[in-house]
Amino acid sequence: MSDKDSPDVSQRKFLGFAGAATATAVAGCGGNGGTDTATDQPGGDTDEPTDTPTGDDTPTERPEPETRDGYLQRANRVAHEQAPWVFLNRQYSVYGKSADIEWQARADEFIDAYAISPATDSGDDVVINQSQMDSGLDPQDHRATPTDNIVMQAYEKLLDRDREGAILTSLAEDYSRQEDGVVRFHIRDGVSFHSGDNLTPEDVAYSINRIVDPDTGIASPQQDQLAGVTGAEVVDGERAVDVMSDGLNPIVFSLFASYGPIVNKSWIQANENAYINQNIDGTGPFVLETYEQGVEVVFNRNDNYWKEAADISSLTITSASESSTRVNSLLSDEADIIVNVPPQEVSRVEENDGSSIAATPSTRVIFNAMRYDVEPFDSPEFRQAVNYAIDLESIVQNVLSTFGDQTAQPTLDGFFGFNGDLDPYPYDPEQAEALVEESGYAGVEVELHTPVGRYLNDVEIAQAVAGYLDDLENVTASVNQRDFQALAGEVTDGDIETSPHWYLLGWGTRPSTRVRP
Amino acid sequence: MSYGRFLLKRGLQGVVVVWGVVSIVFVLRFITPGNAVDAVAPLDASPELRERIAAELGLDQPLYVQYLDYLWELLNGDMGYSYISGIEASQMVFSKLPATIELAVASSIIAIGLSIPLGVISATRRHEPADYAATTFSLVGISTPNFWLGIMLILLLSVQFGIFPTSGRAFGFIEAFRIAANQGVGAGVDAFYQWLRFITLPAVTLGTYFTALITRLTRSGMLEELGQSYVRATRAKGLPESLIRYKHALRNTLIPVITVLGLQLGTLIGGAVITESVFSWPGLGTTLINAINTRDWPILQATLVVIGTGFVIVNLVVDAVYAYLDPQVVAE
Amino acid sequence: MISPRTLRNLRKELRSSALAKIGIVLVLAMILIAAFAPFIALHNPTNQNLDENNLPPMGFSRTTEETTSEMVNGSLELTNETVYVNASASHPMGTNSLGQDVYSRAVYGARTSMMVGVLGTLLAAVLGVSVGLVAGFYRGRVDDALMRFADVSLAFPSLVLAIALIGLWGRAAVDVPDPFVVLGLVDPVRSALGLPTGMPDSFVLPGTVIVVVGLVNWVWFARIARGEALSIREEEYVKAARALGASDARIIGRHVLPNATTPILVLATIQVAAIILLESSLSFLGFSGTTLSWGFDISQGRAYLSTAWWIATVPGLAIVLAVIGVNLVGDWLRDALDPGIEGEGVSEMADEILKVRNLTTRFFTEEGQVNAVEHVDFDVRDGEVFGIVGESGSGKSVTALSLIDLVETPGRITEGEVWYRDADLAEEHRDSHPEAVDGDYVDVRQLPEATRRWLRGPAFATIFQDPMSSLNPSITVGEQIAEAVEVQRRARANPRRTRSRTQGYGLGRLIAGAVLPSQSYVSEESEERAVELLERVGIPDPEQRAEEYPHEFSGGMLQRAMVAQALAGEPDVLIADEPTTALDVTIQAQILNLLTELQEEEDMSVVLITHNLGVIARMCQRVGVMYAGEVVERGSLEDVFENPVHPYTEGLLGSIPDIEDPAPRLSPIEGNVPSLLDAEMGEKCYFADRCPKAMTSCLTDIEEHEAPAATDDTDHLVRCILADREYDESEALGSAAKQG
Repeated sequence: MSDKDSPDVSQRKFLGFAGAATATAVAGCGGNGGTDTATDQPGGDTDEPTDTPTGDDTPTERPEPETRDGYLQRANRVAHEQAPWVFLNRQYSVYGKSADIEWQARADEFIDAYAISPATDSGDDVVINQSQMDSGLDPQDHRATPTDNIVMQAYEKLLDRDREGAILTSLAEDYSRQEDGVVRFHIRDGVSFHSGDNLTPEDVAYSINRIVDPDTGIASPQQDQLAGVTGAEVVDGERAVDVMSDGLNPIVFSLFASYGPIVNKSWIQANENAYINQNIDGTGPFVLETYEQGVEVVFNRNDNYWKEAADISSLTITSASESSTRVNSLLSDEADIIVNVPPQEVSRVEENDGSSIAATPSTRVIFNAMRYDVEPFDSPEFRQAVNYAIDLESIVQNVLSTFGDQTAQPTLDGFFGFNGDLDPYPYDPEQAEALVEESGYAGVEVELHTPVGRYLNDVEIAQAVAGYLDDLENVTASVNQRDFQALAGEVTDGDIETSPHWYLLGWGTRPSTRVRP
Repeated sequence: MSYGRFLLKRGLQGVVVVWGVVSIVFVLRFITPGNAVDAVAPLDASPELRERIAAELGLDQPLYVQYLDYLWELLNGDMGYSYISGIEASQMVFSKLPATIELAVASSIIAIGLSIPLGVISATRRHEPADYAATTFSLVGISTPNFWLGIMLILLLSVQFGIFPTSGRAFGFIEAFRIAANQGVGAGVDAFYQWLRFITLPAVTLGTYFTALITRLTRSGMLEELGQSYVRATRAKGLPESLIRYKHALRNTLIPVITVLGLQLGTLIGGAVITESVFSWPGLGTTLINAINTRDWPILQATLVVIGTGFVIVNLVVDAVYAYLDPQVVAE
Repeated sequence: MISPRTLRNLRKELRSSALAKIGIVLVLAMILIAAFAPFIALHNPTNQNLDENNLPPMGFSRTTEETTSEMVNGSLELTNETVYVNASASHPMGTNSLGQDVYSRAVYGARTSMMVGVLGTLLAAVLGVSVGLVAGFYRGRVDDALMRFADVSLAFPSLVLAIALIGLWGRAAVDVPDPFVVLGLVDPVRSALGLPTGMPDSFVLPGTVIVVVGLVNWVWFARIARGEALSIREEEYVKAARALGASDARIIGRHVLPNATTPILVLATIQVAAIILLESSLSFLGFSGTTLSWGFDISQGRAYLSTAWWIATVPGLAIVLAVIGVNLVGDWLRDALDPGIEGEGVSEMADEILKVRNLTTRFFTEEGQVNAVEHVDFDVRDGEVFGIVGESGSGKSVTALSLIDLVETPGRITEGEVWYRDADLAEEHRDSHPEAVDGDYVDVRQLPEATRRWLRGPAFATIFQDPMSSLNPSITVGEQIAEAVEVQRRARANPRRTRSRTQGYGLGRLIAGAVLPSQSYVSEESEERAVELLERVGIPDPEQRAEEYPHEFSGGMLQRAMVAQALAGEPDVLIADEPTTALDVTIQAQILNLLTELQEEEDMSVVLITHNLGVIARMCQRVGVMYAGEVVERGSLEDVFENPVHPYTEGLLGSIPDIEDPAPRLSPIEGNVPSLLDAEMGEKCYFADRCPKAMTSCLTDIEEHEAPAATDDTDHLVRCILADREYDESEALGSAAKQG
């Protein structure tokens, strides 16, 4: 299979610095087991440029780690030294919430409308204002959180997670490992799609195959989210599906708790792509009422839901990329939940009678990626210089008003592979200037591409980063504001050549440590 | 030349211009860096798949064949499918059109309704406070960027005083009608009230520049007309001043004003783009910016074609009105 | 290219217009700020200092509830803290969210705006003018193709096209070294001034933006250049130059371009303003190659409106001021170079069983007070034709306008009475305006405005010199006559004269009339009457002609239509102000015949104003001769023409033109009509300077004298001492006085 040069691939790529084998660990890292020592590569990196300037030198001096956690820790350490990225901060999810509803934020940034309950009469019709709308409603033809926040109100997966990340059953009522590389999911009975069709194992098998097999309908960008899964088939005589994966893959369960929306096979096959992208036939707690592309999606409560029907009767999701617009919409009672309240507006939301802040540390890490294959970022000295040039503490303090944590690695504290020995690079402009001189790229001009409004104060973080770099005597830096979808598209299009040389993105580490831009 | 023939001639010219518009959009695509296949192909497309896609899009054909295909498809109302969402481009663009038209019409109504009386008052009360107020307003009005005005209006009237919604559009004018028809007068009145609340700020924002512009044009036009001999002659025959101002002078003032308005229609649509962006108004402007950002060619193409064609059509209407008001135009 | 006359106009307009001064000051300030930004800015505009972000401007302080968060056991705890932030003297307009100096950014933003505005306009002008000149000069297919292309590009709104092009082509920018930094001037000067050094050594020119704004705005220039080229191509001297073998390039360069300069210059100014707005819109939307731009700063400040309003406010005001400045300069250029619109050229004209007494009309212009009509007395009798004759500028037309109270600003009737005989009217106003009534006579000047207006039509009707410009070109001739009928019809229907006709025609009626024929002002009866009137004045096929527009009429026919319109009110007095001047000779005779015929049949009085003595001789029973705003001699035709007393009248009559002679200008006497500027007039006989028989007492005695009348039915009055005494050479004014 081929792969996408998405942020997680790049994540894998930098781990390549640390030695080829570690890539496996990252791709397969699960939330439920710590002792695996997986050695083969479930994701496979066949298309990827494998030559890295320094990839083979460093790790050989160190003893081979014994555990998977050890691999990851070492990878993080090496990556820290090689500095292919600047790890800026762990983002906090800062939501504005109206007093009309009761709701708690989740760490994985999914706004689960099923968990919302009205606190007042007007809380019965909930409006969510997020930063972007969907890129079409096909649940398997996208990979961005804003789209998930829309389609996953109506589609469901085999398994699910609670707010803390523990695995729950969902459309599968049970699962078990049959043999190496085969996991059997027992499909819940009495579940029906919004169209009235009953959920069958054929639907489940089709859904999984539609993701992992480009010849089944679409070439799904979620293919690598189910990395290692090679296919699924219905079990004869049982209401179950066998999922096959490459060799021993202990994490298949957890993959299906985060990924793999289940669609209605006959509905998908009967309809054009355009139709699938504007309509929904899921099994979830909300039924699509109206869809206005790029503007608004309205759901009604699914009264035939297989669980108890949702508390709220309707759900509207709309978007404004401008944070002040979202805050204003909350304060003027036009929205019940808004995403990414910028720090400077937090007190306004708090002081307002009808609204409050719901904040939680997210699992998203905001980073700057530097393309190792182009000048000047092909120089490790230069990349380190970039790290030294940036006053992270000041950014967290002043740009984020403390709504974020400094971080030195992609793995968060408490997750596999977190290396407690690593500290962020200190702010040391002199050292940075010296390293730039050393790299031979003194006087270079660089441009940081950043999305607008996708992450908390993203443009300002980017400006501050570029500003710090520009403050160096021997570097000129500026910011290029980009549309999120366009930027993410360039980064994830499978061709490193089309990626910007230096860009800001954030990855969300789901409990399975998979990454979503 | 009769009025009918005049209209026919203008109509034919309009068709030629529309053809030009459509062709320029086609050319634009070929002078743009980047390959259409990149945008359409799945992320991991094999070379064979890319070739197949190129063939499907007709990109392997000679340019003139592609051009003729493109024209033929346009004639059939086929503008392709969005690369992003797979939705039919024509459907997408036409579903956004009403919002933009509403905004443009509402702001034009505000602009014309305010500016012509203002201009007339200003011209007939020269050097009086009313004139100074009107000229100051129009000067500031044509000098203020509308996105800035929009932001300030939101800050003041939505955030501070909460009179208007900050952004968005509840439903369209037609939907409001439907509500009135289906749910009775009470619900209808409420629907129109909501509609009005949402459209007011964007319309005022977009309309201010035009109010200012037309006030200026009307004022200077009125001054010029009121200085004409026929006005004195008309006064001499004892007509009431209001008749002289409105029927005679204003009518002649409106002729050049209408011409300028027609030409400025582009500015109106351009302004709508930025106003839509400030107020998250779901119209063509927002669609256009999204399409550009995501390089969604079919949508971009459809948007440009619709805007360009709309401009030509409205200008035809302007020409027709112009010719109605000024009989000499038809003669020439 | 810019003539001395143009410069004079520019200076004159600048002197008189405070707005133009403000505009120039603003634009100059903006240019200086843009040019000398490295010296004027307080800080490097891109230097950030996150510890000093969101500082308020001087004079303000910021008190905010600041919320900070802390992670405690995996969940967030929010702490509120009230923060007071004071302004810092080194950031007079505050700082933005990155701690950059708002003022310095605005200063550098001016550079971007000005550069894009000027370079973009230049590019648009060069492109547009080239295309326009080629199209206009070669015409034919080239013209068709180019103009059709222009139409097509107009169909894309400039902002839309600009966004599309920039979005697709990228946002390329060019680093231009800052000349002052290169020359090493900046740091020393700044150190000397005690300012921080380290200003940017180059500045970013958003190249794509400039190219694109040029590409989307060329059409306007093309249209103007084409228009000029089209018209100039037909000029004789251009044809001559071509005949002499001048190359096209030379003709365009020497003849066409210079003539097109003025409109292009005016357009360019307007375009600079438009492009500054366009640039700010583009950078607001993120389609620019630079972050040092007002629009960009506004988009950044937008998120801080509620906490740090100055971030978006300062650049916003900068845009407004810059664009106001450029627009004001544009207005100034337009007014000065194209004085058509606001020009207050006072067209001299004027006029009415009438006793006119002491009628004085003055114009209050920038140059001073002009005494156009001074203490004019005359009577018009029933059924007579009273002629007023004089050279251009003698005040005869202003007299006509004063009679019907249509003197336009800056003119004003300052004194005098116009007594009009109407027993009913006198009765009506005897109680309300006793001072305005004397027997059957009413002093029209003392009646309320509404009543005076009402009298136009049934009391006084007027025919003006140029029939073409006296009719509204966009309304049919029949309707315009019908209006005149209608207004009388309505007045009769509602005898409350003061109210009836002032009511009711506003914008609403205009629109209603355009949509619903039944709502139009004129009734069908009036239209029928209009056709009768057209027939009455000898227009063949009147029903058909009534439907036609003025441009479809010949000059003679139009003047007949004007007469018909004047007849609509069945007036007592018809004032004809140079009714035949604009017509050719044979038509003149026809119109004069028509007037005579109508005057007899309708029993009107006519006040005929003309410079043509032949016309006077043919038409009038009595005549007044005007000179320099005064009636210098009046009486019966025989008295004045056969026994002229005033030397001016004598001079006029020196060569009696006959009716067939158009005699466009009378200047039978050496010298010129004196300036009517008050300051240069004074208390003397105004003719004395030119008078062959001037005597010393002419400088003091300016009374009107009675001259011996040849006929006994009239007075013969002369404003000249010769009426009383003979010319005495010993008292002759010296040549010095004449020259003075």
